[in-house]
Amino acid sequence: MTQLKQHLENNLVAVSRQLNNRKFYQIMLTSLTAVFPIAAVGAFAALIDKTIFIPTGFFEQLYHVSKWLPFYMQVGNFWASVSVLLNNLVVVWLTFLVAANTAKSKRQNAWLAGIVSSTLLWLCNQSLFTEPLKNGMLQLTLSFNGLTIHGIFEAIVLGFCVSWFLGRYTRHQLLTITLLILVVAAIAAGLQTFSPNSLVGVLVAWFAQVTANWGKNIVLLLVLGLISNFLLILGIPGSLNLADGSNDAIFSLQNLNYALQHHHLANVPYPVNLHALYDTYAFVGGSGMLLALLIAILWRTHDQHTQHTAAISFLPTFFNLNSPILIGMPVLFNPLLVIPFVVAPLVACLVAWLFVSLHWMPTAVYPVPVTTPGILKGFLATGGNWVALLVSVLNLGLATLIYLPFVTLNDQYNLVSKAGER
Amino acid sequence: MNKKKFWLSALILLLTVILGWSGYQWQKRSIDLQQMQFRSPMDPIFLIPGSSANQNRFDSLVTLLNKSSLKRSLLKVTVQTDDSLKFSGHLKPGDKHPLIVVGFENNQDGYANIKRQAKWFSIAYAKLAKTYHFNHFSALGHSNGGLVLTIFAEKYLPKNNTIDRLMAIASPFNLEKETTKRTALLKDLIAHKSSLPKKMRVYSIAGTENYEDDGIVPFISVDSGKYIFQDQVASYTEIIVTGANTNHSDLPENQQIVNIIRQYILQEDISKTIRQQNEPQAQAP
Repeated sequence: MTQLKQHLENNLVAVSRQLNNRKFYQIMLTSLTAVFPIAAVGAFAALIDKTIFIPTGFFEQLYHVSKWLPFYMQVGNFWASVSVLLNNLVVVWLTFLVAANTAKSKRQNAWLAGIVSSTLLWLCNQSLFTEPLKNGMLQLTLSFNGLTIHGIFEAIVLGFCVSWFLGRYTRHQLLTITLLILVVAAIAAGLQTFSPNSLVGVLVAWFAQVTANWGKNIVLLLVLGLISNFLLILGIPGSLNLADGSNDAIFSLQNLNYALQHHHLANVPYPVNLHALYDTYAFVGGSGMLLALLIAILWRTHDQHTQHTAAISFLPTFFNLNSPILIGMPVLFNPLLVIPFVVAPLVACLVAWLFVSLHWMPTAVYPVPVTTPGILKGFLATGGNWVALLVSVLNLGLATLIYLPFVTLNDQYNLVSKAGER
Repeated sequence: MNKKKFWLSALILLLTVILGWSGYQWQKRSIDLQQMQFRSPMDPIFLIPGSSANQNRFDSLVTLLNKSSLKRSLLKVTVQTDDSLKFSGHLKPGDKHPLIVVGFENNQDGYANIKRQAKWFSIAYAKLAKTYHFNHFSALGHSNGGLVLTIFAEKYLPKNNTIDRLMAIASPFNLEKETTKRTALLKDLIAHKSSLPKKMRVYSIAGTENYEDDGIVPFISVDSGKYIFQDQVASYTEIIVTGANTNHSDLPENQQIVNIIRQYILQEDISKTIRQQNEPQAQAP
């Protein structure tokens, strides 16, 4: 066992080292950690917006803030705008930094590459044109919902592409830029005409359609969770990562109807579904049970920088808004954290499934706000079942234990953070 | 540093407990609200006989009602004086709108006994609602049966349950007194009228053999229902039926009233000629 562990550790560290020696990886990490401040501020703005100023916000539901707070609508508009602007800035800055850093490493014009790539991102992101904000303000937004930042993957790819193009045709730079912008604008306009979602959006929607009925089967449910979280760590969030109640909405609704009719949760028609297991028990601190990661870091890490990042990210992550730690540590693209990030939610699903199948606790049926602290979700979604609360605590504990060795490993080698400093 | 960490963890724990507690309160209220808004697919029709009648009182009415294309199942329940229930008949599986007659072993007249019958009905209702999973229903009461239903609606109707349509046939809301002086019964019903279900539709039918009464119940007593229902429920309609078979005991089998029951309580798609009979005719200028 120890040998196996040692073997695994060696492999992971080797992969991490190899990646760290690659220039593109260094550039990605430097750029990600550089946008952490803006991501953190954005997450706090999103926290205020998503808990208080949307109808399904946790505090709005619990304390009816809209009833007693003066100028609720206006203040709400303000925070929604701040949140959207800051969080869109994250993606724009990221693509700027990736392109600029790449150009810089090739001793080319960093500013030019950065400006061109962020302009192109603004041009080609389809959701830029289609995401309307509540109350009709700010029509031009990138799609950001507070839980995961969309477009990270696209931003990074675009940054690399632009600086590659500009580096390739250095002699006719002005012409290249004009051509690039024209081509991208044409593609964007074409896509806008034919499909309202971005290319990744179309793929994600297709995936969601294919897997629509997977949630009822525990094995397929685990596979779905695995794929979804693995994609997220590459910066591609799917619908599963939102956990906003749209997962298995039909099954949830039938369960709810049953519960309302019979006044108990014992024999609901779909005890196993994505919403009842994944959203409720495997989403403590957002995708990948990241609250457990924060606890593990704050508990055992000695590295000041990581500690600091985790402390700042704690409050938003407590309410399931985990983008600061995803970007700041970073968890994204970090080979040392892939295993716990994927495994911890699966274990959480499995434990919850076990308890439900053995009839030790009822299925989570009643709807709860997305920004409900993850640890309370099961308790509230079962109408106050103590076993459900216990399962949530148990899951958080297990996830912390799963994260702990990898966090120590990360701390020990600290490859990522070193790459960030370079 | 460790001390600071300890206090921070304690603070987070405290925050979680506070949020958990208020979240629990919120969820209880929210489930309540959702249950109130939820309407069960099952939606029976209760039939309550008047004094000195038993659970078989409506047999001929049910035969008349079932002459139409739809055969509804009939369940008869008798509440004994010791609160136990006796059943006869059965519900067909899949029948979402069965007829359920609830009679009482002690079927004597008098306000004191009517109150007792309302309590007994609430026992039968609780048992039936639990067995057949419904939270809303329609009801028809003949004579004192209408009073039993009104008292039930005011005092015993469980939270999150509601009555859709209530029809009282010749129900003496001011007992058999031919005066405007209010009896204890009417006073009590008026005093608690605010707890009537707000979305209920009420139809009160009076039969008149002559200008005063149907042989037993004075029109003025049936008419007193307006002091209870008017401006309290979604709608309150008084219907006066005259002609053949308008004696108090004949009213449930009166063809006019059977048609009214089919139209308003069973909400059947009755033929145009019958509907024209029931609906008020346009006044000639």
